[in-house]
Amino acid sequence: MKRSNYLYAFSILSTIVLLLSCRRNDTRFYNDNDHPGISIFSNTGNNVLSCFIADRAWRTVDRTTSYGRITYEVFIRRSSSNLVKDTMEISWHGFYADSGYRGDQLYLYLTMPHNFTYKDFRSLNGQRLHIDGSNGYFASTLQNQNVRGMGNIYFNTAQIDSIAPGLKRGEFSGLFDITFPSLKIANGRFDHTLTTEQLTGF
Amino acid sequence: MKKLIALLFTLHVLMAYSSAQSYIEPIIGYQLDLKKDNKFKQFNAGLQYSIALGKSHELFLMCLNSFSTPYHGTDSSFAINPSLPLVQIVKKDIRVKALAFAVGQRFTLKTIGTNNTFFFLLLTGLKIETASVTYTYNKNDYTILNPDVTRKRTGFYMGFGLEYVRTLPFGRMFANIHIDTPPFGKGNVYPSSFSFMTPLSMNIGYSIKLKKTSYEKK
Repeated sequence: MKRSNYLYAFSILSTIVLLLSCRRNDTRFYNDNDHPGISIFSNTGNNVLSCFIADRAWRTVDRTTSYGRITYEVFIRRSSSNLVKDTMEISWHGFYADSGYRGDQLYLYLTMPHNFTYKDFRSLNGQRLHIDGSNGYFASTLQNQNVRGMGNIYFNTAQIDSIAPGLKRGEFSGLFDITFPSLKIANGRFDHTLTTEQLTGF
Repeated sequence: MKKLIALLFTLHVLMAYSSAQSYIEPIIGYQLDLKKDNKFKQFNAGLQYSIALGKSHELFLMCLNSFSTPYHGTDSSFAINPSLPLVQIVKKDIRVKALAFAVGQRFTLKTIGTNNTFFFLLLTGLKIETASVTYTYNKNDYTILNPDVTRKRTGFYMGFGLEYVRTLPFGRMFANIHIDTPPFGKGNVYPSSFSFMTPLSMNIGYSIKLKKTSYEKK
């Protein structure tokens, strides 16, 4: 093999390695001056949820792309539980800001009309809901306990669109608070963009 | 290093021309933002030390303080508590102040008679600009959507404009208009609803003679 061929192969390989090793962070965390430790309330697609859990700041993991693999902070899943109502599960993956453990999850199970589609997600836009068990519930794996809680959630934006066959894009943002039996979540705010990979069952 | 070179160059020029005619020039003025939304306006007050480097070229050092006139805006805040109204409009005050230190140059464009001169102005300097944001709202129950925050930037800036100078028996009166860049620099990347000013500045001033030139003494 000629020396120029080695150089050519080396340059191609280097380019591939460089491209694969690029790490992109699509989360933008802007600290709230009125509530230090959590992010501002926004609807610009910052891809973060944050709140205070018993006065400790908790936030979702960064949405990152590394070696072509994307880590998402939120997923939405639609499930048909019975013939009368369906359920929409929103799951957030995060951690306490003062802790290294990143395995905590926060859930919202919301009762939705039977056979609802991605287009019906928009019906949440501008809605403030009191989640009291009859229309859904919050859940978490915080403190290694599976607990259910009640609370309030406000959707400032909620939209999913079909941009091509099999491809969807959306956004949702809002505020929430939750009361679990042993702890309280306050000052919750979320702001996410959505892609097909984050949506299941739609 | 760049700042040091600029300072040394300035001192060198001043020393080289220390025998030239010099003036102290108090100035006052007004400036508004040339940005599209044109939110901010300021009053100026400052002092210049000017040296004639020749009949058609002057150098001056300027210190200009720009005082803010408040900009009143509104944002939306939301309550998660179902017993409260969902939306409340909150008042927002933004005050932008700036302190600039610049080296300026006057180049004669046209002289009419013996007392009226038009100059082209060129400014380069350092500017410290602060935009202070304050909200008045119920922080316990409401959360502001996409809030603005106080921002500060220190950086070099440039400006150019025109100046009219009227020579009087005991000094000079002048009026100028110039456009400045915002302070250059990265600053923070916070998604504010405003940006740093690109001011259109209109000032008047008076030149007080400090000493006479050699040809005037003769």
